[in-house]
Amino acid sequence: MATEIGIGVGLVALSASLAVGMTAFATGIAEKEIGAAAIGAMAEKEELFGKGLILTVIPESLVIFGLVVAILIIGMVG
Amino acid sequence: MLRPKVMRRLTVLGPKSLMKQVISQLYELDVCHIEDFTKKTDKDYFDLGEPFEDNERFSEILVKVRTLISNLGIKKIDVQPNKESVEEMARRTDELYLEAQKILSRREYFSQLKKFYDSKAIDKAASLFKVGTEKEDPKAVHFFGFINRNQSELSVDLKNIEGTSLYTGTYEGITVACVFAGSKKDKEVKELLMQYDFSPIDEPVVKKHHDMKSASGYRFLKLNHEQKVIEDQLKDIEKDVAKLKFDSTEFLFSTELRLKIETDKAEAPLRIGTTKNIFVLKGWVPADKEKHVGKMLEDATEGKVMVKFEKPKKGDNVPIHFNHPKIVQPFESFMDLYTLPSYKEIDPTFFMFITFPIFFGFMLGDVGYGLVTLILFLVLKVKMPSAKNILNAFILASIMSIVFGVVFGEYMGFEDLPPEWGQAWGIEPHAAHHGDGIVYPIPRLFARGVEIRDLLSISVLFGIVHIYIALVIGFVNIVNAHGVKHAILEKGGWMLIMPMMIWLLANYLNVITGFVADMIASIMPPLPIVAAMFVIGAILTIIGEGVQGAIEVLFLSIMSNILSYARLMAVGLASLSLALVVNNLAGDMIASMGAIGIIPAALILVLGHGINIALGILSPFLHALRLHYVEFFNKFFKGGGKKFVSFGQTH
Repeated sequence: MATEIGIGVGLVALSASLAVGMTAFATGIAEKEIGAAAIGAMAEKEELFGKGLILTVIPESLVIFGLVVAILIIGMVG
Repeated sequence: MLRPKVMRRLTVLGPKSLMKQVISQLYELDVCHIEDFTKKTDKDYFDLGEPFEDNERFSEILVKVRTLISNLGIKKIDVQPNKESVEEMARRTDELYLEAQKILSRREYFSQLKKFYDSKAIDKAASLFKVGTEKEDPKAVHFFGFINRNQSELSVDLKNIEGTSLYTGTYEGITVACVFAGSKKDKEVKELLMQYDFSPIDEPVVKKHHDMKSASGYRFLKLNHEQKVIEDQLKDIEKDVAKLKFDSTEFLFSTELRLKIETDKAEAPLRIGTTKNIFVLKGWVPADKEKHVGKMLEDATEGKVMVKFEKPKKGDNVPIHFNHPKIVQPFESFMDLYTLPSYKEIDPTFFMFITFPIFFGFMLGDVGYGLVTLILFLVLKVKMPSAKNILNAFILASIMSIVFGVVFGEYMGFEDLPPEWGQAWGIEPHAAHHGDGIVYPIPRLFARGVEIRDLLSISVLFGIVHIYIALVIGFVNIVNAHGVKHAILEKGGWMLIMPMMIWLLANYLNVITGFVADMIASIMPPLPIVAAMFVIGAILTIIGEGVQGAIEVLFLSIMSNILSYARLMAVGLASLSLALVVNNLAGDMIASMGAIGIIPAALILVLGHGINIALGILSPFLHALRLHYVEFFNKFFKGGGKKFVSFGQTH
């Protein structure tokens, strides 16, 4: 890259990446448990696929919020 | 379209002697959902009916027919039900069964032998079996090898031939036999053994394990010849199997269909309440078929049964018969996956038909990807007719992806024209967003890779509209179920809370910006009114929904519902970024390596876009589905309906 990146911009970029990365971790941890339970339930009763899918993807909102926050943070530097 | 078909409860009461006619007539009409009779207590006046007496016979033949179909591995074809008499069907099935049994057992036997030869297990087979040869008459002949069938049959047959003796053993389920006979009986024994598909074990093998001196028994044996004989036998048997398949396919499937119809009918009394002399059949028919069903039942029984149609009463679990035009039907499978709507509420399938492809297309949004997935789903539809329904939904979604691809100006991740074309077509150049230089973007309405904030605003706007639609549906549902007052308390409250959330998103959180914010600002009432609406809405919700409502208002649950639609932006951007990375990598490869670079570049393009398309189907599908199941349905959908299954041939 030709342009010099200042410390301020760097910190903004870092915090934006933290916002996405850490929420993604949280989502992963939450979905791990739910997904395992959902698969277990589906093995017993196949009709539960719909409900299992929904319950599994509910924590996905966390990372989406993280992304929104990241975009807002990047918006601070324009 | 927004409601399942209107149903009528059908009750048929009549003498038991007419039960068969009524069942046959209903089966032919194929519009009635029979409600299974269950005996509640022992004192219940009615009892389960008994299957018609020929049921056992039908099931017996049916089992044989299905065994034949699966053993012969015949592919299903479409046929008309067999019209022959039951006796004729039984006779032909038995004949076929015996013939197939014979051919298949020979195939099994020879394949097992082939396996022995392939895995060099002949040694083991021979060594397992010790024969005393010391008493041998030098002139005696002996046959040593495998037979198909068990030894007791052979020993009975051998008794008819004088001076023979038999020793047997088994190896992996196959009988190994050693027969001694006087030299004069050589031919006779050989003929007998051929009926048993005798397959001799080679001399050297035998010699190694049993010191058999008299070689006379092997006159007809050539070394290593047997393996080829077995292979030829197997080929012949395969031909027989193919012929049998060809000859019997139509008969088997038409018989299966006919027997299935007959057993369905014969077992129907198990779902009907009966006493010693009468029967009562309860079920549901679509209201528009009411007159026809009534007339046909009267004709079939000369008016000797009582037929009654009633409107569903409160608390009836009415089966759901979807009522959609053909183009909406694919989306019914998404309802099956979740839960069917109950009879009284609005059926959301139509809304899914509108919004699912839009969401999917908005996320995938690339002309190239849309075309690839479209072709993929069209091919799959031909290959897998059973999944036709859900594939049709995907085809609509692919078409929307192409539409949004044109809007976003994305073609397999490429957004820019080559400079010469751009100049020739008079396209306004732009400064490149990544790297230096100028580019000539393909004409488009909206550049989603650049206007990320606007993309976010549009996604959230989709959410606001979608949730408002859900609240309106919920309002209508509650008006129907509990009246206007409840509807205002439960859904009206949320409708009043929504503007405050939108105001917060636009003015405080700055999630909604740009032209979408301007658009919203132009229709948004001033802040004091919005705040007042929020307070009134919150109070209504807390009165209407109690503690749960209070918690939801306090934690701004509806705000997170709206923000959840940001995934429309997120998934789309992820797919676009991956496509860009793949294209840039391939471009760099050609730029740095010249003509040789084309090979790795092509590999990267195919692999990268392949993976991206696979993700581009899975991820938009899951997220679009989730937005409906979680954010949309939560606002109005109760579900719990059971499916209408008509008693008849089609199911």
